[in-house]
Amino acid sequence: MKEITPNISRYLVFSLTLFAVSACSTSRTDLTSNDPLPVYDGESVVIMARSYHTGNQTEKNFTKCVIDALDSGRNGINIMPGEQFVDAMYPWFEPRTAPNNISGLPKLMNNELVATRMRETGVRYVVWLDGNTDRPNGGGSLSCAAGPGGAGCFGFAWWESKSDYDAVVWDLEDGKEAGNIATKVSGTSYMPAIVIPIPMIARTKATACKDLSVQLKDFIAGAQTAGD
Amino acid sequence: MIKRLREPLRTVQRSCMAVITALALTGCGATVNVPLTPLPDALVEPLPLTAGVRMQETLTTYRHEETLPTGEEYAINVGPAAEMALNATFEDMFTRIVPVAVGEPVPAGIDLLIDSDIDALEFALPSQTVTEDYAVWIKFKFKVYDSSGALQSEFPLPAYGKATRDSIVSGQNAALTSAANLALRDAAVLLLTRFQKQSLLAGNQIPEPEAENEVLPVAEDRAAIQPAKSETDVGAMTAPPAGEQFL
Repeated sequence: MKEITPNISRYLVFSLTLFAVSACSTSRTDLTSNDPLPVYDGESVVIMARSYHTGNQTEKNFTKCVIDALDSGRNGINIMPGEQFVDAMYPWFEPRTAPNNISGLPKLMNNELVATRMRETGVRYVVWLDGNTDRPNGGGSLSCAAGPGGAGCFGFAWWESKSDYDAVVWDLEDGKEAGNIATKVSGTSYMPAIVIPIPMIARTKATACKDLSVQLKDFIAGAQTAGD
Repeated sequence: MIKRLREPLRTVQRSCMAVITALALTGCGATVNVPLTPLPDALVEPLPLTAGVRMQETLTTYRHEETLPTGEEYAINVGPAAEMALNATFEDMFTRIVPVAVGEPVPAGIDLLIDSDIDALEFALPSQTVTEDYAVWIKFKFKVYDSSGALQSEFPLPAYGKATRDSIVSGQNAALTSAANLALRDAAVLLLTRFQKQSLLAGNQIPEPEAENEVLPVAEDRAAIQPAKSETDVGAMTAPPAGEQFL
């Protein structure tokens, strides 16, 4: 038993070293806006993914990640859940009927029922999330086997990840597009395996969520302070 | 110490193998009972009409059964949920609705009679779409009669819903159920907005949905996913023409 312990220790150190060499990624975030966004008491923000009728929909977990990031912390923004907003505006913000761009909003707001309900919800801004995470390239070979005597893997695999997301902010009160934030993150993940696979994952989606949320929060929450 | 641990370890190994085998044997299809999910109240002015509403039995008991080439067997029970969704939608659309049983003549005092049926249901799994999406298409078939019982209009209504499995735990049943529910909601939205379009002709100034949103990417998607049973089948899943007359 005593002879085994140093080997385990060496293996653990080796594994931890490999974990420390995390996969690298590059990111770029651009903000296009004219003015900071004032949010006053009683007003809220809705964050929704673009309709799946117009292409691939942004992943649910990305939308949730952005909502959680904006909702939390010292400058937390008052977020209304997207489903609640869509239900309240039924049937005008459904995947088939939601305006594709800001030019469709005034037409919708001409409907007195819609305009009244919009005021009742207290929603001032709608943030539309668009984009997704892809794995354009990958390679290598990794195989695993299991039997009565145990299990193990051997080989090396790698893959690229590209996270490309946009957040477009609509000001419902002014009926205009208030800003646009674009985030692109790319990275390569590696997974060598000698008995145990050791993943070195480039967390591009998480990085994109963080970058986008920080910008969005500065954009809105920064103005919220000014507005108060 | 190691000897003493050997037997329990073997038991654990056997248990693991049994669990893995059981997991491998599951996933041989699914039976989905689409639940009766209430729709929100619609933000539309009801048309000042009394509508008779007739649901064909093929709709109220609709069950889609399909065996995939892989041998997986799927069944989707959508009838009761479809009936509930359509009833709620017609209640939003008209000031008064009158249920009319199949075979019953057009009752007196109604302005129109809407006969509803489901023509087809199709679905797609992630293994077919090479995405993480589950999709459901439902093609409804409506006939509109005037108060004298004369057929005025007949139109298909293709509805589409797409959902992603939230986690391994939630399973494909939940994703297919969600996709079917969204397809029913899509059908309701189409009815509400298209009838509102028609109401514009009667001077009701409720805005139309954007024209570009009316594009239904369903037929192309579906055609790309798997070979169509026939050209007629795929053609039938396209959206009705934008200017189609309902009444």
